[in-house]
Amino acid sequence: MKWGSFVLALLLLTSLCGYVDAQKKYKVGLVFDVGGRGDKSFNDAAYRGLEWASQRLDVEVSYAEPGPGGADREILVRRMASSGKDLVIGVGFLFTQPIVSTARAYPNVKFACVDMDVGSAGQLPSNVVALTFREQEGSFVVGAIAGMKTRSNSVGFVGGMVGPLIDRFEAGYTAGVKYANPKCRVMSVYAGDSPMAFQDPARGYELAVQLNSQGCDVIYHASGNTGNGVFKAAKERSFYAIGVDSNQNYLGYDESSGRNWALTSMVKRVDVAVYLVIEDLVNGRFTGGVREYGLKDFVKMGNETYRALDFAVDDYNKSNLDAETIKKANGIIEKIVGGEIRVPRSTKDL
Amino acid sequence: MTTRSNRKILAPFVSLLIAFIIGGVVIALIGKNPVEAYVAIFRGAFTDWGFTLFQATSLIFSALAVAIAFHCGLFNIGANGQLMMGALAAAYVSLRFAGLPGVILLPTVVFAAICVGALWGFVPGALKATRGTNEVVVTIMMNYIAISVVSYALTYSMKDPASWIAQSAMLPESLWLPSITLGADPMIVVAVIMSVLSYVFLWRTRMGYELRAVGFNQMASSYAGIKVRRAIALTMCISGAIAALSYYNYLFAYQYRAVSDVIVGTNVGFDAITAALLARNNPLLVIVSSLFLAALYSGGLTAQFELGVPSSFYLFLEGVIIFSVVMFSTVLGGKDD
Amino acid sequence: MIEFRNICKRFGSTPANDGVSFSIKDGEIHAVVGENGAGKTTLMSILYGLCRQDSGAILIDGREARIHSPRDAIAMGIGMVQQHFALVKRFTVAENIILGQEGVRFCINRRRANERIAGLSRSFGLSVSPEARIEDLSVGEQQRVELLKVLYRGADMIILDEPTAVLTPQEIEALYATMERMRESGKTIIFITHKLREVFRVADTITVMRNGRSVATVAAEDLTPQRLGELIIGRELPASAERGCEPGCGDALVLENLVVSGHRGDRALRGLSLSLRENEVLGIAGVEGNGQRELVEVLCGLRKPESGTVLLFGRDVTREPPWLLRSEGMAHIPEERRNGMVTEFTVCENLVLGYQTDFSRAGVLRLNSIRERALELVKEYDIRPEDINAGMGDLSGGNQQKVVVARELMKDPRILIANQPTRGLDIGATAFVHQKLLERKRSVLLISSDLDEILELSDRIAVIFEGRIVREFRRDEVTLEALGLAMMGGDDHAVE
Repeated sequence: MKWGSFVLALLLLTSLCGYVDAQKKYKVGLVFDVGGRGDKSFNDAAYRGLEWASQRLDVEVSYAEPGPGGADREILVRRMASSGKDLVIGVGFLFTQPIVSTARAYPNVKFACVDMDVGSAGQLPSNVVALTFREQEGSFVVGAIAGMKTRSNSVGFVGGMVGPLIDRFEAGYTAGVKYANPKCRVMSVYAGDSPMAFQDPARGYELAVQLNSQGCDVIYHASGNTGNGVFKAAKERSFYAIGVDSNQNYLGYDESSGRNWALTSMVKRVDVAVYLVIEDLVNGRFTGGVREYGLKDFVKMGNETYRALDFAVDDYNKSNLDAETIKKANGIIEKIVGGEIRVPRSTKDL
Repeated sequence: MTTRSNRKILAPFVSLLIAFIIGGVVIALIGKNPVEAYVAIFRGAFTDWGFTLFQATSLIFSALAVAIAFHCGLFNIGANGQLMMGALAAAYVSLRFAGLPGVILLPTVVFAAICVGALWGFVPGALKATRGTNEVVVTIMMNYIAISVVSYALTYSMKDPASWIAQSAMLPESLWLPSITLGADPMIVVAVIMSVLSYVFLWRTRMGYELRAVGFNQMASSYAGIKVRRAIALTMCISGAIAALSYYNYLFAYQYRAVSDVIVGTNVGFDAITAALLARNNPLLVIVSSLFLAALYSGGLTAQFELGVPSSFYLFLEGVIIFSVVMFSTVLGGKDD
Repeated sequence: MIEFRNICKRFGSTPANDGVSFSIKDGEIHAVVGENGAGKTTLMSILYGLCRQDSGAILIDGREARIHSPRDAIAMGIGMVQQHFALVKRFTVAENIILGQEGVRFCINRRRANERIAGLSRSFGLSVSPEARIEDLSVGEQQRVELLKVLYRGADMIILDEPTAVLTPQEIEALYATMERMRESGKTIIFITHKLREVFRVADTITVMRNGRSVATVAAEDLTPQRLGELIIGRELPASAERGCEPGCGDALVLENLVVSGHRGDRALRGLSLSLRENEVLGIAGVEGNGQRELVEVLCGLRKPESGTVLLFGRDVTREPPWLLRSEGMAHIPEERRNGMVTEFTVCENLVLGYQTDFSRAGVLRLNSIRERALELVKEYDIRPEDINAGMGDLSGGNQQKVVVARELMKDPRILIANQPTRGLDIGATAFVHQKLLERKRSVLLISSDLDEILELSDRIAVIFEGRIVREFRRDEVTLEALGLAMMGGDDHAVE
């Protein structure tokens, strides 16, 4: 009996020691948007960021995706929070509301929302970080590439919904074109003034054809699915299109001629954002508020450097970009990071 | 005779058991431990009982809609569209008349939702009654129309100008329902009351009697002087009206705003068919079957991030359940005649 | 001689034959009578090898006969004409008769076969052309083909299962004559029926079956119809329906020049006129398919006439919906039982079908009064099982019919459309329903394929032929012959 209790106490002690000794392992939970992994877009990118973190930062990761419609987004966020996660990340602006309300109920857990709709979120709780991007910087770089590439000295821009978000793209792009080619003119058009403007490829096609017939030989789109129409027009009428958000270079591939009409894509790297916010957590640098990722933010994995914003170069478009252009573009990136070039946030600042 | 009715009662349980076994095999095949998975599902469903109740509430309304239509021999695949339109109407009216005191606003909002849902059921019902159009086809069409109407309304006229998401502004606080934990709101009580009312309606009222007679034997019903066409149209109206309340709890006890993606993407109206099938269209058993499916769904979310059981496992299990219920009700219960 | 020894046969848990023993002498017409479900058809199926007895034996000429299939039966000289004919519609008469018999030989000797058939037709009075196609023949002619088929195979024991059910009176007479000729040529005839009149017309010996047992085998001349009836139902026969006072003289229902298109789009009623007086029973006689169905549908509001009027107690109700006619006091016993009931409902629910409004208050069913009324009706009509919550589908056909009749008469309708009201009912229940129809409380339009029923009940008989009323008879002036003639459309069609 005596011995028994002694052994028991010993066991208890060792297990307690073990607990204390163990390095604190952070737990991160990530909720995809509807559709989950395999979307070749933000969900896949977010998963990559999570993988990097689990490899390099020694955090414990778990993930889940909502059911059809995603009425359970908030439930998933809440269950992640209540199951002892240190950080819960929601992928996509539809997590704005779920994350804000959950964050109020779990003040000790940190939350991050990719592409948060800060406008509708109201006052952000201090344990929430909105992961956003300085799209104007990336747009500046692809604008400069467009300015170098154009032969007609006129390039176009197709925006989705009119508003401050897409205005940033237009401002950065226009400034980039003018920086590389001051004689070049930029013609900007928008698909509409509602979120539907991001879902209208027919309209995108129409606008691109119009711009091209007015002389534009490079067109950059920032219009979601509407941009698919821009690529369609580019293939049909043989001009260059620039993709947005993910690497859309493959959209410019014309099977009949074997040519690729994608000049490049302005890539917004959700994986970098996800990784960096986890890194902040592990390093104790996590702060609430709006976090803007720009050209200066990057992750080095092996030999590769991944910038939060970048222009895409791959097998599809390498024939369209000569080494000189790429070198110049990288030079511009350096200047922006170094503060030599100031990129406007809005077309008003142009 | 008694053995046959015993078997009828037994059939859903046997088919559930078989579905779970098949589900377990599949979990094992993807390299997870089936026992752990089911334990996780069970734990998830009960620790977060609020969401289980929440999901069950939506399911009960839609499943009642499906079950009542079934009793009249109608297959209402349109519960999804009816619930979307009901949610939209409720959101619209509540925002439009936000200034009214809650006592007046609440019935107005509910009434609007019911009316629009009834209309969404009436169209296929009336077409069936007058033109003999297949209600399955028409209700599916009405689902698509509802999707378009809802996303149009929430991206244009009803959009919250502060947001760039296709969603309404916050709904008036006077209508917010109290809740103990997220999802456990008074609508579950309304849903249970609605089930009892549906039961009473079907078996204790003249209209319910006529509706069932039409469902079983249209010829005999018309011989007996029952207005068959009216019964069909009316049943679809009632069905739509009940389905319209499915997302009331989503709006006023959960997100407090109408988000286009969420409403348009819902699957509740289809899960409801499974719930009605499991309950053999009995409105009281619908409570049980809805709670069961909701628990499965709710628990599935936990199993997902705890064990990595894919989210599609729920849909898979639901499919197997439907399959085995249909199989075993014919094998064990014999023909229903 | 055929002898049945203690034949037993069960289907599931219900015994169909429960120790049947009697014998049939050679060269006699032996009637086997009994109510529906008494086991007659089962016994004959055993004799013909369609199914096998669980126990007991059949002895033919003193030796036990092992009959495992109709082939065995045919080999022993047994032939059977079933209720439903087994004829190939697109073949000729001759082809049908030799079908399955010439198969052994390589080619068919058509000429010899035709000669043999013609010879058989002549000697048994079965006039039918060997070259005619079955699909062109009337039901009566088809039956003759079946008989020829049996005779061609050389049968000398012939089973006839309810042969008169489908025939007109003239055809029935011809069949009797054929049966008598067959007896004269030494053949044994086993004749299954439940119609008493026929039994006394042709049978030499009668075996009564009840509840799967053979109750008695008696020479026909030793029996009275009264006694036979008692043997069949096993108790005293209810007093035959009493005819009350004379019908009134006001018109309950007047049909004028009804023109209605039928199910196949053709004209089913071509200017039908008819009047039914108050408290009168008017029988509609006619061969099936002459517009009876459409007439009933128009009367019940289920089919809209193209022209003509329907006056119900002087009110024009042409094209009114069923529920309105019902509220005007019209009740209807449909021809097809499944149109008069919901199989999935309970007996109780079926007993208020169509009257649910009368049994509800403010839209809510008054379950107590429904139950009370259902209990009364179940008792009054002797509906079995005596359980108002039994599923309608679990009832026998006869009991289902009782539920329908009970319900339709429950509210004392002013006018009743009774279409085959006693189909499937046993003798006791039939008598009960007949009594109800003759109560003189209401006008009855009786449509029946059972001429006996029409003759027994009707004050007047109207004959429908090709969508018109071609003749009307008063009760006291009608003869079977005249009725049969009219049913065939007049003198020209009657005799072939």
